[in-house]
Amino acid sequence: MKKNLWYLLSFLLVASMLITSCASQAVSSPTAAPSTGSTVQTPVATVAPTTAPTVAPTIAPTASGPKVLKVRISKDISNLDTDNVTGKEEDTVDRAVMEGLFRYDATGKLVPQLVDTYTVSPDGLTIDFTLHKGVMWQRGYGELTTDDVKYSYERFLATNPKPAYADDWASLDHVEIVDKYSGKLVFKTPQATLWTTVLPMTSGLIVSKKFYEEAGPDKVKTDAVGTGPYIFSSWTPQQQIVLKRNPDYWGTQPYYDEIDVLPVQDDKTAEVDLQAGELDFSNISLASEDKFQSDPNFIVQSIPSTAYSWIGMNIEHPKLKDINVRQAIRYGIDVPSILAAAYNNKAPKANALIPNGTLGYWKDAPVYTRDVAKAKAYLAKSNLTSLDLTLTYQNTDEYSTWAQIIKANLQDVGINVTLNGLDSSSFWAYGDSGKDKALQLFAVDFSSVAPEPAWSTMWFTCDQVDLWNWMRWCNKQFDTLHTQGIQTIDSAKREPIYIQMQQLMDADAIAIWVTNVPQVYVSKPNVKSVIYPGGLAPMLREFSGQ
Amino acid sequence: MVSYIVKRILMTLLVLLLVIVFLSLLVHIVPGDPATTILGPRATPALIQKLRSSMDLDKPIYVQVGHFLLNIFHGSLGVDAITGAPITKLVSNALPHTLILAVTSFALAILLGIPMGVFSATHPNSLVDRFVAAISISLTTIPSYVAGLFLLIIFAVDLHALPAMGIGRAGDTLDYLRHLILPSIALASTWIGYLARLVRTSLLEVLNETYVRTSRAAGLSERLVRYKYALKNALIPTVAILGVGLGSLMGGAVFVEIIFSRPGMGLLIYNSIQVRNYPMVRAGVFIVAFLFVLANFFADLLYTYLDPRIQLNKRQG
Repeated sequence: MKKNLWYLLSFLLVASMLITSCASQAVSSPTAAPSTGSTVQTPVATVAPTTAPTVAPTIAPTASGPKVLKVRISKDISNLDTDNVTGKEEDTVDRAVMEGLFRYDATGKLVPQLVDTYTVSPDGLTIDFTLHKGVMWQRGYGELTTDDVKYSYERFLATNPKPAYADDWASLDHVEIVDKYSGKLVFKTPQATLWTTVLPMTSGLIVSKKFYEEAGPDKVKTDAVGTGPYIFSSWTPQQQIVLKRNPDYWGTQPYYDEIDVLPVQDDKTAEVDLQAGELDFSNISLASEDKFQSDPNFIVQSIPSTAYSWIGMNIEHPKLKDINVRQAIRYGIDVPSILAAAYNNKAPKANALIPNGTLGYWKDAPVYTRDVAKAKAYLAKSNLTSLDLTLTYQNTDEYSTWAQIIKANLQDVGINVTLNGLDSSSFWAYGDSGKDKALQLFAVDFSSVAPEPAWSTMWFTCDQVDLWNWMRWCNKQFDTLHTQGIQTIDSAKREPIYIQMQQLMDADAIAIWVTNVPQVYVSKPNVKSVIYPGGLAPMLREFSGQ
Repeated sequence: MVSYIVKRILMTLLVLLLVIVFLSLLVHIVPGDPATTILGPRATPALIQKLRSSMDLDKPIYVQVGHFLLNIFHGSLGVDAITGAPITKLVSNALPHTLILAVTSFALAILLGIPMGVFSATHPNSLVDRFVAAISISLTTIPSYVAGLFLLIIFAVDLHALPAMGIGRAGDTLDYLRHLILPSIALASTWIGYLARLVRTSLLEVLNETYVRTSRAAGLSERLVRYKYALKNALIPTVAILGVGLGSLMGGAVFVEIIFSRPGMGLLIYNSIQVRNYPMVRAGVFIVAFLFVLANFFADLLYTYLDPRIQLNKRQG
């Protein structure tokens, strides 16, 4: 009897393995068939067709089988819908499958994509365009038309509920359909960000109206149909997203037959997976750069990014209201020590909000070096000899190191810092409905999807107080300049606007800028990777062998 | 026996109800807002409100518990707050991988731990006994995630002998088994050591019992005495920890699944906690709790089956 029980249990175990390994868990989609910081030229004239809408010759699989690339993303996808897209993981997948009217090419230059010709009116309020003819949607959703363009962009104007990325198209009035292939984007005001972070990025991708209406709002979160070089073939939650080469792609065929996008959350795990040969490409932590740099089996790219990290001060908090206290803190903290300890001196020092390589970079920004005597003098000016503050930060290795140095530095000035390390979710919850009022000092980083100054300044306007402006700093002049910066198309005129905005921030001593952490990407020697301007996401469609 | 089973089932239901209530309370206790975490910095207030409502977060705890129970009676565990996918589908994808990992690890622990314990007990204080003791105590003290990292570095990174991540190609059983080797050893390591120590102690105790001495005096072979009579009784305490063992393995599986990027329940719950995807956390923990209680229940039944002296429905003494 007992023997039979064991036999039965063994049989069940083996059977379950067979069933589990054989079962198709992937959510399959039916298939019908590095350059960064580059200056983006604002297109102002009609551009001749760059790519004929013909089917390019298909690359035949090599004798060793199809060319498959395994790429890591830091977390599984959760919302691919372009107007509510959740993060760079979704951006990465969306931009391999879908296309916009314009895109960044492999050198980081803005180029036309789905538009055949286009003209921007001198006042910047209309863009007349014609689409390439014969561009087909994947999976049998018909031909791309201006109806799809109108549907894609006017979705951002919805009010109930307003999409997360509605502000990207805030100036859009409507999209006018002239005929099947010709149309007009009509704007209420000029918008410079259109050419940097909107048209060539995820908010500018064209979705298939037919697919969206057929699939419904939930389905499009984890499925995608585009006109791009890769087809969203399947998604297996927590395991992988399979992108297959689109055999009917209208442009130049991509190099890889298949790209497996694998979610690996932990950096250390991803590094082991790279070394074990399970991944061909991954971002890694800055701390591990040297290890991979010295390994001939890998190519390491360290790319300046649009991420910016700083120590913020909540100026509404009674303890930090006095600018002298904030100056004391600014002179009390030794930023180079933070860079040495947390980044092994591999991250550059930031002196202002906008990173080097982005329009509006303030190269003459004042450099504050640690001066304990000066810090104490400022503290004395505010009639204080000592002060107790709390520093809130994410309890990662990086920020825990920051915290230790800040605490030790400020101790010398007479400021006692209590450390409040939080997990990611608890930390970001301060961005909800004024919870940031409780903050005093905080260490944080934001980033911009592309080198665009408005993406950096947008979080510090008055309407962001109670949301993401955790310094709770409200300056009407800054707000006016922010609007002016967005509405100024001429780059030469934009630049001084953003420098002036940073000067306003600096004058009020609301932050200690620390660094723009470079992004480190590792690939196998036979993989040629391309990263989007801004350094934050891989441009999968341009990956090739070398 | 029947009344015992009925009592245990009622107790199981009560435990599960308490788990659901606790998980609903957790939303209010644990800091971190799911809406801002899930939707990102650019989410509009209307979107945030919509998400909160879809998670029942704007409703009192008794309503949340009621909805969850009602869903269960309808065969549903709710909807994933992020993707909108049915949770039953996500769980049915993940659960088999965790169960296979846990059962394989447990089988491995039994296959290695029990012989080690028996060998030590039958060669007490010998050099080999001391060596086995050192090994088993070391294994007991090494957490599964540490063992996992070591195994990864040795067998996947240095030797390139075994895969480091995932579960292999769909439809390829051999590949699936190859991907199971390192995680199951990592997860089993603690239990190999623990079982070896438990069996050794238990068997040594039994070998000193009078009925063992009587058997030997009666001229029965040492092999028969050790393995048929003594070992059978020595294994009863081992059976008793089966239920607890499964729970412990499910807990350990979280780390192992993260390290080896295995798409099981541990990784599913961990990822959901990270983004405060409460419907998924609630359903995932509920499933694990259910399995834990179920395993304990069956372990108790097996215990009475193996040792007829134990009468579960009567008070001792």
